[in-house]
Amino acid sequence: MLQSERMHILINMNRSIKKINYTLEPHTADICIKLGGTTLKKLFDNAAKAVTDQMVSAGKKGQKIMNDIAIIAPDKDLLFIYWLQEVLYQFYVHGLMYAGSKIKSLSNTTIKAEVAFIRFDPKEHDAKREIKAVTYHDVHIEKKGGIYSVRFVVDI
Amino acid sequence: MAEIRLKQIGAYKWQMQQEADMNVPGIVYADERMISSLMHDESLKQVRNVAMLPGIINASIAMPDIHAGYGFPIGGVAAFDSSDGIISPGGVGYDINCGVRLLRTDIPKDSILKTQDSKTDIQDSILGRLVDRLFDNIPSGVGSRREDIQFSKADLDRIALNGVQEIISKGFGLPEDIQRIEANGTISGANPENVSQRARERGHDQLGTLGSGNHFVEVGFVEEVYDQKVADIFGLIKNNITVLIHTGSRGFGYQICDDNLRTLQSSAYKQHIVLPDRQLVWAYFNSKEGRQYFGAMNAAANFAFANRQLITHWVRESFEQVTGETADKLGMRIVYDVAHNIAKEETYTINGKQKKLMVHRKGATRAFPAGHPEIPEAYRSTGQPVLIPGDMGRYSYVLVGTEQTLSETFGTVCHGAGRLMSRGQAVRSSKGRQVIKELKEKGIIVKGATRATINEEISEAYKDVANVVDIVEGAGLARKVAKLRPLGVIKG
Repeated sequence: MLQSERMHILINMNRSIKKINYTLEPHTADICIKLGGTTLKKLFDNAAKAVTDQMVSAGKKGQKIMNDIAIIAPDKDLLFIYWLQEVLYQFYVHGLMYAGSKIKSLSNTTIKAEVAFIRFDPKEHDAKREIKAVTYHDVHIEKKGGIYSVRFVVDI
Repeated sequence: MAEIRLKQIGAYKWQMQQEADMNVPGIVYADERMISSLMHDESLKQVRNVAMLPGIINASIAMPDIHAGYGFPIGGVAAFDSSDGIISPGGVGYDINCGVRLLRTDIPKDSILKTQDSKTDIQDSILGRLVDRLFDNIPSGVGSRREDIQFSKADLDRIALNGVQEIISKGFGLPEDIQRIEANGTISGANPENVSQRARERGHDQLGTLGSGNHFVEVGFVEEVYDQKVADIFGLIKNNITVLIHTGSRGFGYQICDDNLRTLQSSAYKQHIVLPDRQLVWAYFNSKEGRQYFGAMNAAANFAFANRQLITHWVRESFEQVTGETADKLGMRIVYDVAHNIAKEETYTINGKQKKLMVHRKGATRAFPAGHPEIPEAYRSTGQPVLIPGDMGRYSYVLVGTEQTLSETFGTVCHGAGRLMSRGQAVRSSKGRQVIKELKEKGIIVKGATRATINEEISEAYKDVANVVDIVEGAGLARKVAKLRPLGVIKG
């Protein structure tokens, strides 16, 4: 039988270690990620970090580059997918790894954020795998008991 | 969701009952054991979802290598009327024209397994040097590329339009190569103007790269010949070396799929189209959005043919560097190159009438039989070679399609073994094992960009491709021509 696998990312903040948990749900061909957040902003941020964690090793040494990103979508689920597609684009085209963000505004249809990236350096960072895309398959952001959660599949 | 009910209608053929929300029934090619295992994943639900798409013809079909994908199942086939039907990027996937190319040679297997100076390690053989050279010459893994080739924006446009012809004109291959590639390596209807700036940016440096995941270059040999006459025409000689190349359109195709899915999501949202799965978003083929996607998809398909052509050039170069002989003298010729992720306009007889259909193959291989006008003249009497790679530790097959495929599966069969395990499961299963050493003890040298990729691709992670191929043959869709055994594999 297919099993879930618990994952965590340890992020070295200035004075503390922050841990982000996510789960790899069973999926035969690709990678299915399940995670949560106490707010919608945290859900978006955690998802971007989880996708990055699947692409590159956790050690994120390097100078931070700040970029403003604004995305519009017809609804919240699509906005989430487009946000993660932006994370892939920045990595594969500009070599920028998502490292965190200050989300200035987030509605069901728009996100505006100041995103911190670290430039990928093969001497400092290990590429784990190539993610082709974040798929639309069965993506539904849910809120239960004050916690947001989402399950999504990335094509590898 | 309604219960999925399957009824066995042939030795290896199962019909999924057509429920009210389905436009056609589902058809699954499998044996009883496979059908039981399919109950554990989402693949049958995905067959059902595809059957809900508007204008689908005959059935939502699944091949015996079926496993859960996103949107379409992997191993899925569906056709729609070209005049008033739809096209769906989710029915092709992100890796547009992911496909397989097979090269044959005149090199006897034993001549490359010899070691020098009474050494016994296979790594010290010509094969060991070949695997190292292939790994050095062919960019494999995330971010890897050759610094010695550059393509301009204009080059990229011409490659998107002309595919392999453009790459060969730049010296990467032989003029006769194009005769043994699906559509001569150039699918008409490509429109580079439909390709976004982002797709160009993402694809530009990835032309001539293998990628990662299940992509590979495999040196093997013809272990068994089942049909001598056809094998002779394909140029496959028992115990001679072969090379399989499996890769696709890289970031160029991924981004083209992404761009068009996004456009179609907006249209679907505005038109209140209800989808069983958002990945299955579609456009009428003759709509502006449908034509936009078709033109861009074909550009990616041509990019993929060109990608496999560049890798072929470096495979030939690697053999020349290691053996000291020319590729021509070594008989390194393309047997065939065929896509397994694509949508193509093809003509079929439906209810006694000739119709142009948009056939979607998502992890499924075209298998046109003898006499079909779209296959190379050299194979007109046999049918097109159908290339079915297995896992890196066992074997692969070369088949030939039968007339029955045209009436049952839109000229299509399986595309590989099909995964059994998730990647996490495969890694857990290989924990504490030395997979590379195990394979070496079986006489297979494997070299990968990361150990993790190799562990994810262990043999046990896949179905036995022999079972998959036996079902295809048992169902009357194709016949076995030859079995290939791996000797050396490079993976991204």
